Amino acid sequence: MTHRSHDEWMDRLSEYVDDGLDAGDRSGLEAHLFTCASCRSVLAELREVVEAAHDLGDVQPERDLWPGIADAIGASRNVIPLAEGRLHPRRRGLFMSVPQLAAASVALMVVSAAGTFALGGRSSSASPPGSADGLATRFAGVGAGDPPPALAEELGALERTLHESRDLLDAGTIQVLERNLAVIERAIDESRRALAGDPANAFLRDHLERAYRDKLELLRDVTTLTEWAT
Amino acid sequence: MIVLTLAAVMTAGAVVPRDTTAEVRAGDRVVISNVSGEIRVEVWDRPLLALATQAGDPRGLTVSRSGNELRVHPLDRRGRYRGPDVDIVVRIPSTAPVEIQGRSVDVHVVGVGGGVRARIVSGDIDTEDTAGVLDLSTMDGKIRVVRARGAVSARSRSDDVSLTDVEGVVDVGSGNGNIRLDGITTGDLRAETWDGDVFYRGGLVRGGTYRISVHDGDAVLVLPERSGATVSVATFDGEFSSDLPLTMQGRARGGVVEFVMGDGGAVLEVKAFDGDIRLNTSGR
Repeated sequence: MTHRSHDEWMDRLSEYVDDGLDAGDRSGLEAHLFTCASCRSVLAELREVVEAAHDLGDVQPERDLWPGIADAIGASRNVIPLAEGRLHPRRRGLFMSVPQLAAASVALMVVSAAGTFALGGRSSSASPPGSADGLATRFAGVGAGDPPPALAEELGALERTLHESRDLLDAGTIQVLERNLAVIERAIDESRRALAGDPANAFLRDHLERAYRDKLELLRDVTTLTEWAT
Repeated sequence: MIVLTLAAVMTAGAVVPRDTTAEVRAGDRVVISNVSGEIRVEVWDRPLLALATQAGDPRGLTVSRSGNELRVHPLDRRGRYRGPDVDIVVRIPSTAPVEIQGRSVDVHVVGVGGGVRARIVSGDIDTEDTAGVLDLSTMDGKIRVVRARGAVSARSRSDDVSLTDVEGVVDVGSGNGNIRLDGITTGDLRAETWDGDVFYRGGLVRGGTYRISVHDGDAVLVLPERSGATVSVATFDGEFSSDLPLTMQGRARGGVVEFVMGDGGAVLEVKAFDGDIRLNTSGR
């Protein structure tokens, strides 16, 4: 069985759907899918697309469409994948409330300083929300934020163990496990994207690492519990 | 030597209770496991473990000893239990520590003073009037702790965790649920949830450390008016407000802003990835 990172597996989902993976990659990806909600979600979408495409059958265009396509590409070479637009985060920065504004002179210091923070917090995404530049900048680093090597190794080992023992688990336990993994996977995914938009943010780095560690704890818990529960 | 006494066998409609008692020696630990149903642990002032079943077939219910462990568990002839739900009621001396394991089991523990460790796959865990170390974990269920002294570690993967009137070290977490901490007296607090809110009402002890982290949800702290702490707050997509006067320290670094509140005696860190942080005053 082949071992790869989350992003590498994500990149191979299309080949998996097309049955184009060798046996090692296929079993490795299936092990990863067992514990990765975001990959499962993408896989489901890919399969829907493939199914829909099959239903359409082969339709020959009545005329040559290429000139129109070429024109369209020439008109907007700055193409933003649709998936990025869905994940556009809303960033409001940090500020103090109205009650604090009305408080004593000490609060004035705070308001002033907090304003500085809010500006600093937004400086890394200065482009208008929704603009092509803003999206490109914000998601330029997606793919960064992998778990530290030691964590990745243990995560991979536990994922493989779970995959191998999946048949031993009762349906209820699997359902609970998948639901809990989906929550932490979503947190990891959101944290990775946030960090990609603001790589220098220590809070986001720490948050992402804690998310990975919590996933590790969850997998350890499940492994321990299922040892005696099955 | 194990002392097992069949004390009574009674029939009351569909309920078939069986009472068994076993000696509990100083230093003994009581280990209770169940596959599905309930486990209820109560205390009394006798050096005995008393066992009863309130529902299910009690014939396979076994009490055995291994060293300092008294084990209570349902078994079939192959050493596993695949029968209907069993509701187990155990009464033990208040000083005996208890360990509980279950797959689809609701757990109720009342009055245990020697500490409780519970590991449940699916089911709620309730404790009341306990002392010692509480180490509670369920994959799918609520955890509720009322009146505890000692240390509390409570983790639910997919539901709420609630602690009320607790004194001692607190370490709580939820994967997908709210955390409510009310009436807490501690110098060491850690609370973390990935999808839910955290509510904390309690004091800040000088020299104490309080760390709260939320991924998708709000963090609300209700603190006495004269609280003192160095406060670090961070949020990726949220707002911060405070009824308590704060003085900012330096500039924001790495997404974290630091303040001083009162005498700055405690350390308070509150982080919310996608949610608001509010410090409210309890007026005291």
